[in-house]
Amino acid sequence: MEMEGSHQMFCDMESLLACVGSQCIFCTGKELANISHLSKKHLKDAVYFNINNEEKFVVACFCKDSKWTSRSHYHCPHCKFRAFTRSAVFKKHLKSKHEKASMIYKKVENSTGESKDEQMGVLKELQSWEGDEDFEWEPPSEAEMKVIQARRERQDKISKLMGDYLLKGYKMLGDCCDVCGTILLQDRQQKKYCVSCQELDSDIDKDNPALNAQAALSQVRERQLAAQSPAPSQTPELNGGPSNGQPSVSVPQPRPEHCEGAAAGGRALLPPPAVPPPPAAPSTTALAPTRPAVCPQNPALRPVLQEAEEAVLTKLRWATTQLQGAASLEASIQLCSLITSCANSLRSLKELSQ
Amino acid sequence: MCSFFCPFMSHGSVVGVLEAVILRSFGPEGGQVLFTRDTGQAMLSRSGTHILRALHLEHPLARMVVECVWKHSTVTGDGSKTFILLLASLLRKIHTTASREPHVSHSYNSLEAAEAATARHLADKLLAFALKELDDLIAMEVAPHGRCVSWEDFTAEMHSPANHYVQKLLASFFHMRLGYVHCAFISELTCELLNHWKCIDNLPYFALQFLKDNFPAIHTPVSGFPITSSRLIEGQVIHRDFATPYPQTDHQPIKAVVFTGYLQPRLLNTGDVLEVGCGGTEERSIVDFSAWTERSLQCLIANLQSLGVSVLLSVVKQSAAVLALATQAEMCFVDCVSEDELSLFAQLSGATPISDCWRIEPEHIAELTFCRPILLGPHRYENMPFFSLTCKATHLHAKNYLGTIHTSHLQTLVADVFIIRVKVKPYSLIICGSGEGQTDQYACAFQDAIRMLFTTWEPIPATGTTAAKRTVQSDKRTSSYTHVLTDSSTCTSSNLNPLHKCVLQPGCIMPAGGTFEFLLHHALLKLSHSCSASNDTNIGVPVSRLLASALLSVPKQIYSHSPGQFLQTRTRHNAIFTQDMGLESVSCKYELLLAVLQCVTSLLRVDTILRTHTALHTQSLADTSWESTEDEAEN
Repeated sequence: MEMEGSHQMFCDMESLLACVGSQCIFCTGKELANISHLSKKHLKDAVYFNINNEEKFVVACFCKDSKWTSRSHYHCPHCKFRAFTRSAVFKKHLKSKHEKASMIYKKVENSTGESKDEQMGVLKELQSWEGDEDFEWEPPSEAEMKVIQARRERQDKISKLMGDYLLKGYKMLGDCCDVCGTILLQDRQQKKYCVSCQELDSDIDKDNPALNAQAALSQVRERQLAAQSPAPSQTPELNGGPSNGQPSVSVPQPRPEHCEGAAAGGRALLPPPAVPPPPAAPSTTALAPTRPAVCPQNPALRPVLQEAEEAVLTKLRWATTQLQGAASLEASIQLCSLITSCANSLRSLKELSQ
Repeated sequence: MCSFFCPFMSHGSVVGVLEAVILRSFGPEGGQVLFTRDTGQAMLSRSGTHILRALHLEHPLARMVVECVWKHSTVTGDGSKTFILLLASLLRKIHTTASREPHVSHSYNSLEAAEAATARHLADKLLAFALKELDDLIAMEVAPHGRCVSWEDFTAEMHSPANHYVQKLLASFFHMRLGYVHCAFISELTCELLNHWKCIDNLPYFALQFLKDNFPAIHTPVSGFPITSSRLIEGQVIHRDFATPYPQTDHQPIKAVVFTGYLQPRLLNTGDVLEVGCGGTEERSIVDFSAWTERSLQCLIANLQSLGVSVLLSVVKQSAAVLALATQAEMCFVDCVSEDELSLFAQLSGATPISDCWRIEPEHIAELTFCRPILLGPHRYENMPFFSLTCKATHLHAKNYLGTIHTSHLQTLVADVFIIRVKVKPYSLIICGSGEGQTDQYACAFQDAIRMLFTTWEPIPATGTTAAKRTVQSDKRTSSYTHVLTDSSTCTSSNLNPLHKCVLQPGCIMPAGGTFEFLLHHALLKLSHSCSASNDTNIGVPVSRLLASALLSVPKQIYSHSPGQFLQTRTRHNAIFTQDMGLESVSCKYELLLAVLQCVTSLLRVDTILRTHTALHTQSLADTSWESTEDEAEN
């Protein structure tokens, strides 16, 4: 039962070193697989176990085959595509499912020396257990749940929009959009139209700081958190000065609740600070008086906000000129919605800079 | 040729889009869709099949789904929107379950393939479960809450309880399909029609089957009148005009003959070779030949006259000579009659059509009481051959018929009626509507109602599994609901010996509004609990839970305007029966479930869609009318 590529188990360092090459098989992106990379990134967190009285190990993997590409995961060498993010769970799985297999291997060998096929057959039977799945499937974390929820809502919105267009007489094509994978529509003028690209906000643009003010904000916050954690002594300085016995709040800005970037950032970074982040709107008024006290942070924020404002204004100007020359109804509607969203972005940027 | 891998999620998204299309028309609060053509014709419709078939769909999966819906609707006549809802919700649940536990007993190229295989496996398991155990479950747990109306009880008395239930069932069907305003009138008209055709045979559902098969010949759509002008006419209506002037005959019975071929042999078709003047000393020419054919025709007409035949019906268009001779002999002639109508005529009259006109036997002669021309429709349709003074009806009794017609709403009505001496009194349905599209919609609604009734009363063949494993239902549940269903003859499956097979009785109906779904949901959950408790390795364990949760999407949508009511009815069953949301048929629901599961299985079996660059069936792709037929999906 030899697995290939990133799913294999190794018995010694030599077998691992066979994976040295120009492209690391355990990583998603382009990574040089030299010894130092393999040992720091993958071997360091390897899980060791006993199979057939031999010690084997499985290295931490970041490949595309599992749904977790930003976290390390382990592939079970016996059940293909059972992947685990926590080593404790993986070890439990091996013990419950496959150590028995190793015991049976021994039993069969000892008793009648049956053929390898039968051993394989037994192993396969054990693998097809559909019993206690609880160990393998981990419930998604809160951030992942938000992502799943957002994606589901977006999908529902897309379906509803497409349904409306179909009832208006648009044709549903058999093609999918290259960018987002949504099914394409075609109007009476034979023009192709993708609902999610052209009408809804793009899924990934939300994370691009150049296009989204909230993503820019969350990027700034991440940088702040990273700056604060190695030097926690700086926090009294930031909140010092004219602080009149205010609560020790280390993050004065509200945490944007619906930003995927924030969720991803929150996952990858350290656990949230000791004080839980304040909820969105109501507490901002309470924190507003402390804003002048945290002037040292504003210079870092201002150029980003100014850039964002300029970008939005440029887009607004462009949309206005396009609208003046627009001939079709659909184009005019889309331009108007673009202008509305530009105005909203400007409003939120202005609020932030105040 | 280019191909692309069809990802698992696209099944869900395609069906999700179709769901979004029909969602606003679903349920008693649902709206109507206005269809407009480029020619300016407009039609309002709520029928799911109409809506779906009017969409422009090029995506093969979408076309496949619409095809499944249409086929299901031609069988049961109802439930196309519910089909899409259940399909979408099942696909969502299967996807959630598959992504949670991908099947790993085989090796796959990627996680997506593993998920797709799991989904396929789940769908197959669901279908197997449904085919094996669902009908027993329904018969045991769900049917006792409804009641079985037997077709024999359906009589002419308007106040008999069976009549009341059938009428209520029809009323709720027409309410959903056509709206509240005319549903009572239309359901009464349908009951009257059923009543008249009931005595066709002793078998209870044979009348329904006969009506279902011959509906195109039995009804006549007439546009330009309000729906309330629709009525029944005695006899059969043949949708063609007299080709010869109609002589008024008083003697009865009128004899009629049906011809399938040409009476006068046709000369000189393309490719024919006529040899003239062979084997004789005299010089013959084509003129002599045609004179000879006319003489033979005269003999034929004389023969018919001697037999007393005065009405001739023909499938094909006869030549001018035939018509002239028939006029001379004072016979009425109707040609180009459609095959459906002629087959109905033959069935009702017992006369077989003649193929060889020289051998006319007594069994070829039908006896009619009288025949009359009938004008249905406004004068402006006179120029169209279909309508202008064209309708004729087969009639049994002549008494004062003309008189009654002239006082009816259809002021321009004059009747051409044939009369047939048969054991049943045939009645024709005249369906009126304000526009052509509207009339067509009413006609489809009538036809679907008859199909729905046929499915309800069609006996379901007993499947293999016995009810021995299940516990017998106690009488407690049935007795608590009898105060609503006042008749005493409720379904007696609760009194059955546990060793007897529990079969879904024909004619089982129950209150509408999600009742069936709630009860089946609870039954499936109970089944999954009992199976897991007894540690049974039955295939039903995970799939029954999946099906149970998918079923709830239907009542959730019905009560979407009041979620509080949904929760209330879910927790307290008694509340369901106090609302008057009409009745629905259990057999139709069962057929619907099976059809949905089969559709899910075939959808999930699609791995790849191959696109070809040759244009197939371009005509039907461009044809977007709501009357067109869909092509088979490329798959």
